[in-house]
Amino acid sequence: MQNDNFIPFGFQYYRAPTPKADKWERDLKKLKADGYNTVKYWVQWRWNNPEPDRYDFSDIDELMDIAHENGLKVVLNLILDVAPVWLEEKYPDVAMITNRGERLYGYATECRQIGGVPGPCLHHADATRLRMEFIEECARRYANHPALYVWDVWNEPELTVGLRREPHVEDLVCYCEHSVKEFRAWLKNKYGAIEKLNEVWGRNYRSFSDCEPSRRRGTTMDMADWRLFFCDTVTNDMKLRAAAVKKHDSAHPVMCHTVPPPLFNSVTCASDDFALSRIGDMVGNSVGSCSLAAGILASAAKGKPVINSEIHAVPGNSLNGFHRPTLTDLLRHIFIPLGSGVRGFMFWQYNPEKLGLEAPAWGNLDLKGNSAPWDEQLQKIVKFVLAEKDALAAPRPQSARQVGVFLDAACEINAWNASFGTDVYNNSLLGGFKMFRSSGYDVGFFSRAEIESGEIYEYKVLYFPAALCLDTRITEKIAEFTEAGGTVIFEAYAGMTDADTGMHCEDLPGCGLADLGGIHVREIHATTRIENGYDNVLHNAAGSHLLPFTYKGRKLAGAKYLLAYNADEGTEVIASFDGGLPAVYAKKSGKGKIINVTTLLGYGCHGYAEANPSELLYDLCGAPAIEWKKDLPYGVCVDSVEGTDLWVAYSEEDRELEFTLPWKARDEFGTAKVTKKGFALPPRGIAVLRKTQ
Amino acid sequence: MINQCFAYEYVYEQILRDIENGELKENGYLLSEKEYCRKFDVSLTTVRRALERLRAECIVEKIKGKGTFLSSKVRCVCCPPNRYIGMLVLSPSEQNKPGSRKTKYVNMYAHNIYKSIFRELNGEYNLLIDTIADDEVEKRFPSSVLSHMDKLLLMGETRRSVVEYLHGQGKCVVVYNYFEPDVQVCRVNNDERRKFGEVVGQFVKRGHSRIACINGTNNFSESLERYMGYQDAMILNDLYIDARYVKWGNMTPEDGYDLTKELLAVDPRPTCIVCINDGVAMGACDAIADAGLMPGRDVLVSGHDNALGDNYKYKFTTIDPLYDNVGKIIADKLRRTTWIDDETIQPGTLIFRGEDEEKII
Repeated sequence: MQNDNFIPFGFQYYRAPTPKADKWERDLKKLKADGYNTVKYWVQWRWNNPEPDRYDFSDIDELMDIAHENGLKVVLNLILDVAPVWLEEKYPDVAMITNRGERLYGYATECRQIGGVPGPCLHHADATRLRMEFIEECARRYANHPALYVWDVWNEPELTVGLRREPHVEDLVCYCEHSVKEFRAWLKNKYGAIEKLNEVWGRNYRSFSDCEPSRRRGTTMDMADWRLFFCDTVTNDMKLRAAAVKKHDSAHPVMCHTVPPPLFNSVTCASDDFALSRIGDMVGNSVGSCSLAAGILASAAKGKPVINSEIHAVPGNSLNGFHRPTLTDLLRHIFIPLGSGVRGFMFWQYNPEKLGLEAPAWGNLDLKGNSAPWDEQLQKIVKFVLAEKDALAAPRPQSARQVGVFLDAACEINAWNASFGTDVYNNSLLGGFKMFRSSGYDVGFFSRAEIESGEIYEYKVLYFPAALCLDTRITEKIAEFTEAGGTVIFEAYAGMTDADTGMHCEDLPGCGLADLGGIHVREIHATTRIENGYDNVLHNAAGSHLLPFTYKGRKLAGAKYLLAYNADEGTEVIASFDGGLPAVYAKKSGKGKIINVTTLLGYGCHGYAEANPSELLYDLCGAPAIEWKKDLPYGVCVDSVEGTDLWVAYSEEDRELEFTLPWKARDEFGTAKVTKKGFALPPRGIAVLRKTQ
Repeated sequence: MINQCFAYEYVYEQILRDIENGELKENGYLLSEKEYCRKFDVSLTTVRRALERLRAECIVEKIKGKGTFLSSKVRCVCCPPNRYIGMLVLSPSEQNKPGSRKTKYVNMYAHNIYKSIFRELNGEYNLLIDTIADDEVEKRFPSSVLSHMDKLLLMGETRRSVVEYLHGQGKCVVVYNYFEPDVQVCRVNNDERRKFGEVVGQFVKRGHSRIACINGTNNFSESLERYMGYQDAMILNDLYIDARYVKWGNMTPEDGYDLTKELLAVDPRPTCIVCINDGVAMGACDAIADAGLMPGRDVLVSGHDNALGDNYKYKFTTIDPLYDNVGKIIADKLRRTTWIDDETIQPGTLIFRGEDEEKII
């Protein structure tokens, strides 16, 4: 395993059939000469295994050698979602089947021009055997190649490679006989007895072989199970892939690179960053340049090396052209992840695409092979970062991650199922994260597994955005966490569905949280259904999902729902809407406390440009671990690049923000304005600051 | 930390605290015996007993005529508040399968210890928690945040090689329930051997002699310690250890089930089964019930961890390690600034559960 202070910095280079072979030598020489050190090649099942018993790796062989000759390291990205034509001839039942009965097979897309998308059903045993044989063949062939850096065994794990990524119920996959059979076995493993499943689903099945996959929304846990089954499917497939490589190569690390939520959702993509990250030696992601993506990955990685595997700096397509990255864009791609512990950067891609609708975008060169105008700036950044490589590559702990945000597939599926949309979960997650980040806290993420295992004790505060589907075990663990001194914050509808019974809870917050939090639901209001005239909050919100309120003179907002509660003795109202209806309750619990927000606070703060919940959060959770961050304006994040004297200051707001640091600093790229107070960031600006005193 | 029943124990505690706080003379020498007498207003005998205990624990050494000084086991480390403490659960890689009953079972005890440490540390330190296959520690250590943890707690199936590797990296390591001999490491242990012996004793007291045992992996010190407790008690009670009654497994509920089926097929079948943990005991109870027998009546079963309280569908005896106390002791060790590779024993509590009987012994 590579342990030197190597920080990969480079590009995706080869996705057969482009670039053509006559450009390889020229491009890779230039890439190295320009200061980059790593390239990524796709090894595609359809392309490199053109006949059942014949592999043709001549292109990869040559590319590996060119990389080695030029001192470049290679990420080998194994692409199995492009099934060979012969596979279907051999196994006609290999295709995924959608809910509406459509066979998904053999598509060519803008990002898989050679066809074969989305590959076989992941439950087709023969196809799985053949996919693993392909991986083993690759591992045998390149295990000892001196250019090999890492095996990236899954590019953006999901089910349909974007064919059916939008979560429409009729597009869900896969309803083929193999998947249904596996699903029934999965249910048996989960529930043990059919009677238990019948209780949770509300059915009267005679045995597990009667169980039907969910086909429409309207019921709860059958849909949740059906989609969670696919999350496990993707995770299990990753385990098989990693094992297939390790059989022949235990020296090189194995990883996959995911796409974080909300871009990939649990309903149709079934990619669980936490579960996938537990499998490999390293982790990576696409579009990981924002603090949310970097934060999710760093949390899921649990100390494993993390790379930003696929930076989309030059997106575009044939008729719309492409985005030309500015210095600010490039700095954000590199330094925001760097401040979150990411230690590797691969751009998509070196040559612009020439085949298909992604042409002429995505390249760091122009169509003729010359450097693009922004490349000079990128090279400067690369040199700057690599000059710090000894300090950077040495692993450092993350900054104290004071706040953990709950990331959960079951809640996401449940929110989609209940709300007929993705906004409830996604906006709550995005806003929940942003509230804390923009208030100066270091924020990580945790999943259901971390609640079970006790790994939540890494955090001092837990935030549950739109946590609609919980169970009483979670409540017990939360009670223990607060008893031991932690703070826990729930939004409206927490624990609405009890996953253990499948039922809507009789009290809200549900699953026993009502007693724990000392509140009991009285009435439920929604911005889309104003029936009650006693409170002016909802009337004010008519036509909008936002529910603004103020706290110590600061504006903030909830969204969509407003639950009125009866409070137990000892439960305190911390903040209220203008009409007097409580917005935030708090109750002491052991050494810690439990907070209940009566609305979707994350959603509101995501959508309300004037929102500033920092005062509320400081009162609820205490000051940020690095106390001077409390004095930063809401929206300015300042992260230490651990191991160096660099700090990254960036803004998520669309307005200029001035801030002061407690020490003197030099703006390394001159992207901030120097003011009397310190610095000012332009809208969505970034500055790389070196502490000088 | 330690029951303060006698004056010498009080003096022992105070000297230990002085050592932790670096209150020593030059070159690591302790005060003289007479100076301690004056300082604590106690007799010379009391001071000598306290120093003798410190010497027995290899915390101090004595050179006649020169005095008492800190042993090489004691290191000075700096871990002020707000630094990083890593807490790892180790398991053999082949068993590290998320979602299996094994994983969920392991997590129950780890969770209790994390909680207790979190409470005791009062948010003063940053905790990093991970579950890791033991053969990955060395591989991952250099390139992961583990290498920058100021202190490390190891739990689960800790092997000597892992401890030695981390010590080689200059890390301060506390290991929970680690019984490997001849390894100098800071330990917090339950009295596993004694308690497993007591379980057998309780079965014998109720007239049983056909007592079987399902152990964990035989290269794992905690598992051997528990087996030795079983062995001690069998010998003590003049009972023959039938090789057919001794099983070694992977500490999973599934193993408990399969190995119990094998035990029930032995003629004559055992009337008691001492299991390595509650997970195995759960599997054992299931197998007994599936054989048409009543666990807790026809076959008595015991486990370890008190992970489920009395919530399992069948009654079985268990040993409660008192995780709150364990976590408190570990937290005390993790936060101290003078590192001592010492051992603290936390006695567990035996909870006997049979069909018509439940009592804490």
